[in-house]
Amino acid sequence: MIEAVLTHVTLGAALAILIGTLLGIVVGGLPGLGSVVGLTICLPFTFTIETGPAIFLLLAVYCGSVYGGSISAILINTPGTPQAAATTLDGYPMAERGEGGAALGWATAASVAGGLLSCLVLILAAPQLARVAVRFGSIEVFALIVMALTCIAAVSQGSMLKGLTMGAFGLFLALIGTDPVVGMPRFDFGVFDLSAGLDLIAAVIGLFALSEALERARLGEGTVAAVRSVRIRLPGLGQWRGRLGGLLRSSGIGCGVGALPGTGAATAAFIAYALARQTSPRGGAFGTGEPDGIVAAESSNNAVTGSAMIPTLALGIPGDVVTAILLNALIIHGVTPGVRLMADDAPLVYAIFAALIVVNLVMLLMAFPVVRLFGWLLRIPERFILAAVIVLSLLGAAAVRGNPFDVLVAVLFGLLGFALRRGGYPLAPLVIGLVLGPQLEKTFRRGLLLKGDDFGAFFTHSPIATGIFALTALLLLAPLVRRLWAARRSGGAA
Amino acid sequence: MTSADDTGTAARSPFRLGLALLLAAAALALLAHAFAPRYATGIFATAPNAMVLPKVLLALWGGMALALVAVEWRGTGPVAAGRWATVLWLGAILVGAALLLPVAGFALTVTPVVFASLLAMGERRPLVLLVATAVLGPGLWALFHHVLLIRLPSILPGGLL
Repeated sequence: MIEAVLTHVTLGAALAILIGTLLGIVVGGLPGLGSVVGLTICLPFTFTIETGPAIFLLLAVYCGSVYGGSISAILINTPGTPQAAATTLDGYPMAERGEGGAALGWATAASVAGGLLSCLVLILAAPQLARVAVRFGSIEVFALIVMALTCIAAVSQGSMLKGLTMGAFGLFLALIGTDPVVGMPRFDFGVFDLSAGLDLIAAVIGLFALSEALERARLGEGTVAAVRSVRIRLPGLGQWRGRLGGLLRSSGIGCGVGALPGTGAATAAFIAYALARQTSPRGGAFGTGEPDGIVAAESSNNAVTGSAMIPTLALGIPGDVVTAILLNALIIHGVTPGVRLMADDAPLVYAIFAALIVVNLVMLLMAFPVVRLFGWLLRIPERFILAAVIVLSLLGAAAVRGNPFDVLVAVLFGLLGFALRRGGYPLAPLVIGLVLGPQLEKTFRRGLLLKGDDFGAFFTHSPIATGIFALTALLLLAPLVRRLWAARRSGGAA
Repeated sequence: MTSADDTGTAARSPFRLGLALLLAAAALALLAHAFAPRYATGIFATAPNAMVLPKVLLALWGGMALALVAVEWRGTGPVAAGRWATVLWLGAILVGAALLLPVAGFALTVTPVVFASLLAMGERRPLVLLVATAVLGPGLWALFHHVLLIRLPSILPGGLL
């Protein structure tokens, strides 16, 4: 096994990790870009490289961007990524009193520690979950996909109804094109390019990168941030006394939250921050520049990166948009995540585990020179960054299949994504619907074959399927029950 | 959900109502199309399950979108501030790029796109415009198409341009 894993240790893999980490930190640190934009832009350019380095590059961009968001959060009180929003609460006050280097040091150390702990959880949990996943047949996987989408819709921004609408919309869009069983085109309206369906990469580039560029252009901040250059000062060992427990607790929260569908690093960071505020002996100083606050936020958000890969690798079900893009990247490179992955391609899986560990260590080394660079990067007027995003998005869409139609798809999805954002519709359920649509249909049709076209039999097929459907129903009914309960209580109080 | 740039709640938001109506209309139109004779004859007749999931999803989408129309009809929405002219210009530039690309190739499309985008976002210094256009347009194209060999749509055989 070790020899097989070592075949993935190549110069190309090392370069991919270095370049990906650097790109990720820069993309994460520049406000308005973020993990999703970084991944959607990088993804098409991995098509020409080997599977291992391609996956490592994307993982490095992901992990690097989650950390990178803390840099602008601390230096200019603007999180580079949503995941770093909690870091501003104590990071910026520290920077204001001249301790920016120390704040960045705490953020860097906590991020690396959280990321490494999350890798450990991934290495231990993924094979166990894969063993359980062997018991999942078509109907169980169908139920799981429905539950994951419901979960994601329930926790998305905006109303649950809008989230579910986007989920159904995304699932439908994935069905446009040639029917996988019959081999005849559906909903193509005579357009030849639509018979192959909508390209997922082009759609995601439009929905996230182009719509974000339009949104940033609408805000028109054009910021030129006044930033003093700082050097990272890592905390000494003595400064960790009394803080290690908080670090482990926050990392644990990140690991737990990351493994759940629909939640992400931003949620983990705020939960961990709120808990740390209550449990830390220095809780009263939170919000004024207390390192415990930075440790809680950064260790938890980076702890999500590894654990979010657990359902993605073991079940083939992404938990959020980022892992949906990573899942799609794996599929494009001929790797099918899910039940069979551990059995069919264990060396690659273990290589991914090892790569995640290496990425976190490389992040620690790269943080020092990159942070110095940020003093200059953050002064670039936003319009040049947005123009670069637009060009890279068009490049990415055109590079997918070399088909100009994909650029049109990206542009139309960009306009649609912008309109949906303005209307308060979450985009995550739409993207995950697009990713999971084909698998949902496959499992649905197989299930109907198994049950003689009786959909009702899905609910009683097995205890696992019944349990998952029951959980889904609970998720759907919970907001209604909560509202009725609140109305009853306020009616009783009156 | 409001954002920092919103200028306050007002009456019903025509944009949100219009978007909900558009989503509902699209779903219902596609649902009607799903019952077209084309999907009940020929090879589709031997595999009736081929259209079950699309119809279910369209019905769900349409039903929920209609519920959203009702919600938006009754609700109030924030009036969003912002540079809408810039957004409209950028949208037009992007659509123009997508339509021009098949006939002009990537290099000749992206160059005016970068120039026009920077102009739309407020850049007015001629030298900065030219340098930025050269770097972000033909510069990035050459890097990816000729150096990294990631082939992009071209108009000359052999992919030179």
